[in-house]
Amino acid sequence: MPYPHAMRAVAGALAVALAAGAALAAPVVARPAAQSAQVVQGEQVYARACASCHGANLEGPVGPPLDAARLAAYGTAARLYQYVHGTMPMDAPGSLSDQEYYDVIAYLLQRNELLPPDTTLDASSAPDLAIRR
Amino acid sequence: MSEERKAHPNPLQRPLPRRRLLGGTVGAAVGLGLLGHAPSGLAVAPAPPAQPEAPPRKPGSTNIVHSTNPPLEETRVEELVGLLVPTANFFIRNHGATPQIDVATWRLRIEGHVERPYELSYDELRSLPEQRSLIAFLECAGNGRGRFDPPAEGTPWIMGAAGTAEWTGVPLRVLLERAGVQPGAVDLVCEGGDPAQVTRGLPMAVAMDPNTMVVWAMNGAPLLPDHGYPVRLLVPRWIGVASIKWLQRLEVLDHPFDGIYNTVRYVLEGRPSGAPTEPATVQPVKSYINQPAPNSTLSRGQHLITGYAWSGHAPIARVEVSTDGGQSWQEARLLEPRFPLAWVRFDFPWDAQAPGSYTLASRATDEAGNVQPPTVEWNRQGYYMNAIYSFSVTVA
Repeated sequence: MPYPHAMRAVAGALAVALAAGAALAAPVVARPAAQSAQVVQGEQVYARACASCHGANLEGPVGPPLDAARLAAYGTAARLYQYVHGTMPMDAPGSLSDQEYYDVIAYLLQRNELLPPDTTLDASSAPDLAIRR
Repeated sequence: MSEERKAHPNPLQRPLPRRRLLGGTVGAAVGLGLLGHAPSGLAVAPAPPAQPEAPPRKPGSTNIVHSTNPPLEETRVEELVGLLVPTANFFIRNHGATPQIDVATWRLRIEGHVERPYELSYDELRSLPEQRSLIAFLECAGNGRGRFDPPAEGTPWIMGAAGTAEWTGVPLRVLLERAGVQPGAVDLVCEGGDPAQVTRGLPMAVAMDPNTMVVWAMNGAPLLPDHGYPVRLLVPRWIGVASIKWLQRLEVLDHPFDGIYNTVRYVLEGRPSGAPTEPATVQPVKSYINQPAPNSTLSRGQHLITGYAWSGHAPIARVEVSTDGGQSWQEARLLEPRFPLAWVRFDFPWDAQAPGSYTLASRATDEAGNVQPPTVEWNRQGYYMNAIYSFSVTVA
């Protein structure tokens, strides 16, 4: 049986995976000092609708950590909005107002230092707002 | 469907109406499957999640309910007794609330890189002469996710997010040929009418496969809302999300589609080996023993081990069963009827004479030579878990 060899390989992979999991659990970024009114609103939305799963500091662990890599995978704020609007909060998808979704996405981007200064996120600005690390 | 209608499809005249959506705010029951290890090193089944307080969503359903909004339900596989999974017990994986769609106003719109864009009503679709039925398995890409250690992100399905049903509809290619696909078509964008508006790009070669269907019935009855009423795609062999529910729009592209559900979700990423990110597409070969059930206690004597095996790559060629945690394997019998796109049942007579604990396992091989591996590399979103599934039983 090939199991002993296979299990050594798996043990190594698990060790790497565990290390990766530990890294993901770390706080995302420090909180920037300046926050727009939209970001402040978004922080309140986040605390009310998102933090129970994604953590007070965006760290998870019930939901995935909302770090820069994860947000950047969506490419633009409009695509991130499309996903979040359709599927979140997990227990009541689509239950927030459009404004609340934009506000909370602005907050997430700000926390990850991905929101350009003086940016207000809405339906007209989101398609052109590229999320780049 | 008259020849005149086929020759002169309805022109596009209006944007599609927005659907009224079903509300609901029942909390999700989130549980993380834990993984133990048998002495052989094979993974042992985690305990099923506890039933939440909410009643079943369908009369007669015994599904394990992971969440009610969005509905996330998996089959209690130990209850399966035949080839087809009853609709009430078929798994449900929806990305948002289940929409309630008015079939009187529903239209399927076909557009993009085609000669003749058009819309079809529900009655027009069902009157097409190319109607057929197909028996095929459907499986969520994350089925078995609860067996990853450490846990992967997402619903911790055990083994019940897969099933075989009879599907009735028309081949998708019939609708596309009627529109006149132009040369240079690359992807077909398939859009759902749910609040998440799940939209996937399907390679044109897959879209034109005669077995890729636009279906309106499941196990001989109209689709239930949770399964895509009034109309959904059926893309046999592919991960379940390709079979878009509440289908409302098809758009032929002359370039690859880069939507969220192709490039961000449903991708294999974060693998410890550093393997590059790649989309999940065709389901790997899998099997499980459904009887006896995990952690059950059996009397000494003859028992019939039964189970299911399937693969997106090719029909199942053989299934082996182990009663000693994978140290030795014996050939199981494959049961008739067998359909090329469905799962196959297997059984194995087991003479359990000596009291003690036994680790049961099954290992499937498909006709393309794919064999279930002992382990699968972890990936962040928890797809393609097809490691040999094993669990313990006690003979008293």
